[in-house]
Amino acid sequence: MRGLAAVLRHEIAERRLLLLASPVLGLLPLAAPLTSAGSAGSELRDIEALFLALALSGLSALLLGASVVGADLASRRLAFFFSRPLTGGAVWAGKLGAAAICAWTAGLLALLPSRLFDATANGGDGSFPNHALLSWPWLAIWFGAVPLTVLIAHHGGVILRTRSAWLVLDLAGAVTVGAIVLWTLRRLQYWGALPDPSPVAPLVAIGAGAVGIALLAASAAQVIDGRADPVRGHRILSLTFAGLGLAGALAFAVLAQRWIAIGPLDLDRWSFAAVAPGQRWIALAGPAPGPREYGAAFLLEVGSGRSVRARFAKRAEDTLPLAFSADGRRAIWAEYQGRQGTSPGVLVSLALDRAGAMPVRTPIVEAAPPAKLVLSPHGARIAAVTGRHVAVYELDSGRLLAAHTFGEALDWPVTVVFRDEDHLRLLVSRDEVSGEQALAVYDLDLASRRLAGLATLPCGWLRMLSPDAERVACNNRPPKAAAAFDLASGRQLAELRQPGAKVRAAYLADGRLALLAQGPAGTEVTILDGDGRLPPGAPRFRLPPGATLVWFWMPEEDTFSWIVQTDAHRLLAREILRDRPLGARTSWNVLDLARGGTRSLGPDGLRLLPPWGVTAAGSAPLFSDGARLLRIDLATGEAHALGPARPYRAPYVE
Amino acid sequence: MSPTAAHASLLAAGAVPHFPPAVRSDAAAGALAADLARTDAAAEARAAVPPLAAAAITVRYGRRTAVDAVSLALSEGTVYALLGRNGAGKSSLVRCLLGQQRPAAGRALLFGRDAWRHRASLMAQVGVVPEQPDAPPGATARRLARFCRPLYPHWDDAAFEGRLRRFGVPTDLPFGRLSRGQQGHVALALALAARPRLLILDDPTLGLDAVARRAFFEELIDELADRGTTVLIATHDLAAIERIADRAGILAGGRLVLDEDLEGLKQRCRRIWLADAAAAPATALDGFAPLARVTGDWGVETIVAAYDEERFRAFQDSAAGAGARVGSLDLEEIFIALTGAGADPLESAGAGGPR
Repeated sequence: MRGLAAVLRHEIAERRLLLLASPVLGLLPLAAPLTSAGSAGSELRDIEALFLALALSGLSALLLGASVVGADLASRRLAFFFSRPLTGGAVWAGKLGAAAICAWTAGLLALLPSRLFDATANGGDGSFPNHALLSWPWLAIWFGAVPLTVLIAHHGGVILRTRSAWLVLDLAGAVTVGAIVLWTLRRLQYWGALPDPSPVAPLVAIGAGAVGIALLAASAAQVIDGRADPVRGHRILSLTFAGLGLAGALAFAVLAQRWIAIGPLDLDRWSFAAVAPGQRWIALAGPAPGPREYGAAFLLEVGSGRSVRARFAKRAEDTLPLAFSADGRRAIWAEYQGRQGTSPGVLVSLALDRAGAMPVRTPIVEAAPPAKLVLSPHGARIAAVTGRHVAVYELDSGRLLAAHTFGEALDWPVTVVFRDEDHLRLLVSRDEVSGEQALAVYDLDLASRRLAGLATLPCGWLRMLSPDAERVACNNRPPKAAAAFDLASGRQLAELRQPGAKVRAAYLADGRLALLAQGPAGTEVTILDGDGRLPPGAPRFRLPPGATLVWFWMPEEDTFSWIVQTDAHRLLAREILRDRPLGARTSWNVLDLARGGTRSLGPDGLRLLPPWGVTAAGSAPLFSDGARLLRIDLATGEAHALGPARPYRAPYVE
Repeated sequence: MSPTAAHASLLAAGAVPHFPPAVRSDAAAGALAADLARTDAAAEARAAVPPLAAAAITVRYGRRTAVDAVSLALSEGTVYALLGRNGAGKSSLVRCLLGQQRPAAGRALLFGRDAWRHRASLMAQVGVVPEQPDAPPGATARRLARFCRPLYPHWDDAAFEGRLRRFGVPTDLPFGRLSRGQQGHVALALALAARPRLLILDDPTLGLDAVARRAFFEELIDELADRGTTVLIATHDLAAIERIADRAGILAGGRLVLDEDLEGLKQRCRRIWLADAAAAPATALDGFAPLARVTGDWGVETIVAAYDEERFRAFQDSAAGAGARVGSLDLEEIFIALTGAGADPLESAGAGGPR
């Protein structure tokens, strides 16, 4: 330490002229009010003072950094220090530390006259008008930038002064490291681990920090081990910097590769799971280990465990749309064509029935990734909803069959369904002038490319389309009641209400209508026909007192659940006990529609994997017991493990 | 041996000062003897470890070998003149000895420790005067002394200032504004003020005028007389170094071609004149290892590297050596004969004569 102190003292004393001149230069901004009177003059003075301080500081850091070791090395004066009982570390830290201290101090001393003037002018309260520029973040940047500038200038100074052949390594190293880092950044952006465009400030801060550490280590190695030998010093400087830079860049590339080359079981959790018809393939997505908001998506073949990385994960908890063909042989999803978040959307297809098949981009490109994809019954056509735009394409050729742009933004949830290969039905929510919600029904004829408006129904978001797309069940209309409508005519088929009870209705996969009535006496589920009529002998289930079963989210309730028809005869429901707090474990029950009665699936803690909608989960809901992916035979209650699973953790289900 | 007997033996050896018997008790004498014995042992150990040694030091710059497996060792108190033509590798060797440059092979040892690895601690005992004065140009001599003072355990401010006074160097002028001679004097004053055990000087009088050179060497002689410091001096100033060096080494082409006591060197390197060149065959002096020969009207002058008094008398008595005379050489002549242009100038015509 004695040696370090001696070198520091000596080097600072050598630059005393700079430190003496700085406050003198700092007097210049005091002349600003002479050119501009009033508060504008005062502001101008402060801005000038800050600019002068920063410029002086930066320039000093640049010049001192370039000369404090480099000049001595080139003129062989560095040997003076190495002829003394001084460690190389003391020489290095003393010289470069003194350069940084002088650069900082010069800036601060240049600020001093304005600061003192302001303190006097403001009655001695010591305030500084441009406090925003003197706030901690800016000061931290300033204080961080000075040593970084010193180190960069030192590196440049040594290179330029020694002019040895190691300059080639410097250039090659810089190009290689830059290329690796850029390539890695592009890969991370491509796979969604980094937003694109990435926020500049954190990347610059991380990059500057990494470069600073490498420069610090390289300069230390150069002075400590290179000593007074300029060529050896340059060689050590270049080798250390290029070596560290390369090691850092490779470490970054390896880390990025670890983030990118993950499998479905590496996900922190599964926040999206959809099973393909046939149950051989599952689409999975969820937050992945790595940067914040990084999400990854996969298609997993359950039998072999083979997985294919797909880019339909938008962020950690958000996905782009995905659809399976009805025969389960094809998966289609949307992904960004280039930059994640800003580039056009392209549809990607994966042949699920071909071993080793990889995702193939279709020719279908939209201005942005669609929000919804719907495959035609035969899987030859696809409808894509993007913003206000609906387009139908022939999947293999990418030929546009029909398109329509609505005048207003399609409100969520827009419902799109193929009635057959040539006809598309669209249900679009919109707010009426009266403030009520309405549901507009359209048919798009793909042959004539004509869009026909069929009806406008008094129906809000809480709705469910019948499987044949001919009827819709509307909930909360009026409040606590439900209604069924015929879409073609707009005729109301039935109004479903029960005195003293809250009623919700949903179409099941077989076209029947399930009606939930929740009243003081308990909750009752009744299965009606498609038109909302009560046929004789209709199944009716009464849930035990204290239990509730709800269809959709109900604002006035603190719990919600889903109901899924698994086949024509069974209904899957989750039972939530009212007296249990949110987050308590729940059990799943199967309501036997044919024979009546309820079967508990047990054990407690089974979680139905999302998405939970009737159509999305289809006939094969998947569960996770926290460790395994399970398919449960609802007829027998037997659980079949499909493979290891990641636990699904969502606050409202947990 | 009893402590008293031990002390008596040390006294007899002249290793300890005499004390009046009245102030010495037997116990105190015993403790003193033990201390002195330890001191003596330490001194012996110190003497056994050469202050400076080079073990097969090799320095390369690219493909060029500047120093080629040079080995040497200096005992305590030696004044060693390292001689060599420009580019012979002296400065490279000196940098290696100072731990400033890492040799490609071999080791430099100072006081028995590796100079490269232990440079910082070793430099506390080493004074250095470089070829080109390397002190920061903006610092005055006074500030340089202030910088050095806390670094050396035996720093002697009075000696530093006294030397500068003697040299007539202003202490308040920046180093860069001093003359070349003054800069050299400051460098010597800095080196000596640390009271070093070893002094390494790399051509310290390069560029100095005759007066400055003389002052420089006088100061060095004073230091040697006062403290018996071990010195290695690489120099071209052969006349001056001849007065103080007791050993010399010559570097040629990176190799140490000579490493010898100066007295012995001057004893064996002589010039021999033969008045009648025709009477003496060219091989007449082969037994004396001739280095160079000059033939003139006045006869033949041959510089030999293996002169021997007895053999020379025998040679004089022979027909070939009739009238032969012998003369001594100064260090410069020896150096030129050993390393000079035309390294094998065994025959050249000269206009000079016997000196």
